[in-house]
Amino acid sequence: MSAYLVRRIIGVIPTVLGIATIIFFLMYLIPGDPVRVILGQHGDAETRLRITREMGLDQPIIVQYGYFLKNLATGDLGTSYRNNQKVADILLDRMPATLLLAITSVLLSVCLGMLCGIFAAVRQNKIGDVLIMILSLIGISTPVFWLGLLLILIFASKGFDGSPVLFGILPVSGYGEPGLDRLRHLILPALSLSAVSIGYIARMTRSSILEVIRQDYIRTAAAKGLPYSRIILKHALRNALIPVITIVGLNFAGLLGGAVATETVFSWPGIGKVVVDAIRQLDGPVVVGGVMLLAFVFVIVNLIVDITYSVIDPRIRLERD
Amino acid sequence: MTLQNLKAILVFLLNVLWLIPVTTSEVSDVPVEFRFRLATNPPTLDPALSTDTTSGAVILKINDGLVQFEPMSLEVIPAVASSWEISDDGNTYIFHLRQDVMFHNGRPVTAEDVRYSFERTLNPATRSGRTFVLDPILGARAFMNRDADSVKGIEVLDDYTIRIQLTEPFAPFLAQLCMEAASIVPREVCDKAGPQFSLHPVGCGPYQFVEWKQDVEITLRKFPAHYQWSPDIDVIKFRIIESVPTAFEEYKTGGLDLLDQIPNGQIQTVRDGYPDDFRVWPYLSIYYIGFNNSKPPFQNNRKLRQAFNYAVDRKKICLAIKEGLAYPVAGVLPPGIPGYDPDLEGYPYDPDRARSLLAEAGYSEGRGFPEITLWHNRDPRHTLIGQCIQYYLGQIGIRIRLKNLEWAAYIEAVDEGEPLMFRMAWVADYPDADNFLFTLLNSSQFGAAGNYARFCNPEFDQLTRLAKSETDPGHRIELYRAAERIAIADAPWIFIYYEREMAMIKPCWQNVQLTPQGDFAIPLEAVRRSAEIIQ
Amino acid sequence: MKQLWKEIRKSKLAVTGLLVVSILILTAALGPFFLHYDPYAIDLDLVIRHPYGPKSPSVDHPLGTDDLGRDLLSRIVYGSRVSLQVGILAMLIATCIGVTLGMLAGYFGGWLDLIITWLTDTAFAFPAALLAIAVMAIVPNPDIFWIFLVLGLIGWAGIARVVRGKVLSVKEEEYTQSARALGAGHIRIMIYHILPNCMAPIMVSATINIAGNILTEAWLSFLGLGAQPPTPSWGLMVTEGQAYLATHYWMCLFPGLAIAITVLGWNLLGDGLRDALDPRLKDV
Repeated sequence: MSAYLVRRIIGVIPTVLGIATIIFFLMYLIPGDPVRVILGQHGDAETRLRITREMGLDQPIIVQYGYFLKNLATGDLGTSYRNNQKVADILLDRMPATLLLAITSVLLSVCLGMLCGIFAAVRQNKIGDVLIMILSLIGISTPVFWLGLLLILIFASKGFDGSPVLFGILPVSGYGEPGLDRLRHLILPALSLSAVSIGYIARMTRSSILEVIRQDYIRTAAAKGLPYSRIILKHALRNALIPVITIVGLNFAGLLGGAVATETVFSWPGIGKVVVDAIRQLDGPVVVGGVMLLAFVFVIVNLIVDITYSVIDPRIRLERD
Repeated sequence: MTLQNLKAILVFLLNVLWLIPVTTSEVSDVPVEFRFRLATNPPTLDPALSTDTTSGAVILKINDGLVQFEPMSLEVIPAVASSWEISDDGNTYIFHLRQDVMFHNGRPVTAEDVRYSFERTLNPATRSGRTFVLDPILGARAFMNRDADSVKGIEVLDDYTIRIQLTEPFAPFLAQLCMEAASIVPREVCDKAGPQFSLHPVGCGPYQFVEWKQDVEITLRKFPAHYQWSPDIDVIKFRIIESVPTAFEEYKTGGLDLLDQIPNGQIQTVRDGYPDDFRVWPYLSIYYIGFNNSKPPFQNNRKLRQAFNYAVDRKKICLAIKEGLAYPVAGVLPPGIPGYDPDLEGYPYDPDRARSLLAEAGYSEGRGFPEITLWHNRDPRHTLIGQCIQYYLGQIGIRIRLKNLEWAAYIEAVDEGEPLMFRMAWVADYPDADNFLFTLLNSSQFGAAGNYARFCNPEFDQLTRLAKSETDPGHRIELYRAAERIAIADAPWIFIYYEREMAMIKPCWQNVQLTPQGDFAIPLEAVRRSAEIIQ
Repeated sequence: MKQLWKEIRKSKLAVTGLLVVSILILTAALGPFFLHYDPYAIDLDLVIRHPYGPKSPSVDHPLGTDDLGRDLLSRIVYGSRVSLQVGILAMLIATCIGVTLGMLAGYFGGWLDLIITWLTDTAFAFPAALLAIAVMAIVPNPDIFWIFLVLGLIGWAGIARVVRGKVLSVKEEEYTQSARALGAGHIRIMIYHILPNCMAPIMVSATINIAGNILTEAWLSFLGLGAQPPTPSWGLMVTEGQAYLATHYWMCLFPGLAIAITVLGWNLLGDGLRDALDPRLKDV
């Protein structure tokens, strides 16, 4: 098991490095000059040249890449062009907000998605089933940012006189103070971010349960007089878990990526927002570091997913390859 | 003692008496808090590195320099320097420092700190983008290029006296010393913190830094040992709220005391709904669509440029896009700048005249005009204005395309003179006609230095050059007005509007000085809380 | 083909999907002939009529106007063309790349398979959104053409994976083996024997890819990196309406609905196709 883990974690490195390399050169290709951004609207050529030289940006890109790799080897992600801060500090500062949002969304989508899926499977082809299936398709088909805006309109907006437009009970955006206030701020972004996964998971749960229900051993259990709810919970659900976990793993990238839009709409102080701002200001080190971090998290999550498989279903052995 | 003095003392005493209830109420343990909105997380709080107003809003409260702007008149008045002398040739400045100025860490400020701070800004290792503030000083260039270990023109005469020599006389030097990059910072803190100084700034201003929650808020507390101010506001919270609708919701529900922006399409309603909160005041800024005057078709075709100016209904743009918060532009200088001429006519909306000028320019009804592109940086307002310009030019037969870029790529392209038409705005660094006419249109300023339009008119150049060193204010204004008239006639831009600054401020705050520099520079240390609200 | 139609007709969802997609295509093709207003014509006089701002839905403008006085209905109808173009053209690019790579990997196996699989995994782990942002920032003129390309370059990984899996199974079938025994070349086998047998999963993936492309285009435009004003792109229109959300809801609501309904249509059609063509694909 541990040998397998080590092998898998080492296997992550080329993927993350490949992504970092692509982004590194992409940032170089983007027109514009980070130093010019630092100077503000008017900047004289001499100052610009001086700062460029100070930051080492006058060197050929391949040399800069060499420095980047060298720093990376010592665990240093470099410093931001924009404000000379350590990239690692900038990212770590935002990590809790992004993780809070992503994990809440995963929990939300697994719980709500599976509940809906089970309900639909139990009532196959009845009105509840059709309704849930249509709703889940709508969830999958709605643009995340638009859903966010819609949720704001419904649950948060207030008119000029301070009276709610519709419900107006939740904060429009922001991070809030720790505690209950944070929770209130979390609801809308988490909901809009998880809508897509809820849809996928509901559909997946439904189809795997239906598949399992038709199998012999379930029929036997039913024939033996086991209550229907026990059968669903004990046998069918267990089988449905594997595809659901796969979806969660796959969607985690979507969650982190979708968080860019969500964080923008809800002013959520997370990594997605920092990375988008950094792209705007050509702050290469922050972009590269941020994307590496997101990719790394994604790969790790998928590793956890694989391990979970073997926990749920002992027949799947990790050492197989 | 004259009668005048007596009156002044009386007024002062009355003021003190009136203030007493305020001071007693401060004894209660709830600190007076002021919540100010920032649209983005400031890139830095290091005064040497700041080039934007978001950073400036915070930095101005933490830091003081030798001199400062009087908020309303924008005259240069004492700050850390209590007085100064300028030599007759305008080349040497001697500043006398106050002896009661303290840094927030409790150490007194001396002339040596001034020297350190100036050299820190100029030091290439600091990577300041605002070295131009100090580079008129003799020896600054050699120091910046690492050819000298110190700046020759800065000389500490004693603990509280410093002499600064310039390379050549430069009238706006004092005004430039009011900018953030000339703030005085403590050496021991800076050297120890390195780049981290930006996260934990220390200065000698009226407020001291407490905490910066990235992307959330910045907290400052009043500095009790400040030499000049004893503010009513104990704590300033700068809340970082990017979305305008959100910020507006916060203001309505009491989470903000000052709001600098109102959601599109609602200004009129808000004006009617909150007459006591809504404030509008002049702002030293101009918005224009520049032509590239050094490339065809605009090069040497004044009639074409004029035709474009007549074709655009700037009044309607002011109403529809700015909802009446901007004035149509007649000239280059905005109101509030010495030399502003209210009688200028500029270019009224006159499509017929535009069409005939276009024909005279060789493109009758737009025939033969190449398809050109109007560039703008990515922002909803620029997009709207760009589409209006596109529409109005379409009315006289000119088809243009729009293209938007992120600021970083955009400004570089404009520097290089790539776009044939581009949108640009300018907010004064210091309140002087020089900062508009010379900076934006003198041919020595081509490209990034400010003359993005690459406008070149020898007569104009001469006038703005002469005015720079002219010492008689009256004559100086004459020169600038003459230059401005030339610029209008030559139409290097499509003139669009003068901005006005707008903010919503809770009415319980008094003595809010609405400075033409913009809301970021409102001196919160001078703001008083009205007595009724406290009781 | 007849068989396919028969299968599709069985599923209510698939029929609904087909209906929505057909209406969309009809709207894009014929809709503009029935409109009163030019989608590009701004009307500032309308905007500055009291109270300032976008005008709410009325008889003149059934869906209201935007903040430059343009008719929203016209813009949404024209927007369907943008949406269709982006969805289908980007799908074609993604499918070409995905099918080629998937076939190569599945057919030849070995180191080629290893490399392509690694590439596919990397593409999956890549925050595609960020790649799109970076690429759109690089291109000199961010317009529709580049969006096709970027979306195509992002979307191939899923198709490649599906095709590879299918090829792996088809390759071992008897007819493939016999073709090889008869001396057919690799390319010939791939095109004439393997590809036809992969058509079902390819069609399903491609339809669902269209839905994804429309969503991503809207999202890119929302970030200002997609279609450029004054193009009536739905994503762009949602963005323009964002600031007016609480007071002028129609600017944001209707274009967003248009996106949601269109994507829903393509997704339904994709699902229906999957059920009709290959019930075993349900879990993909």
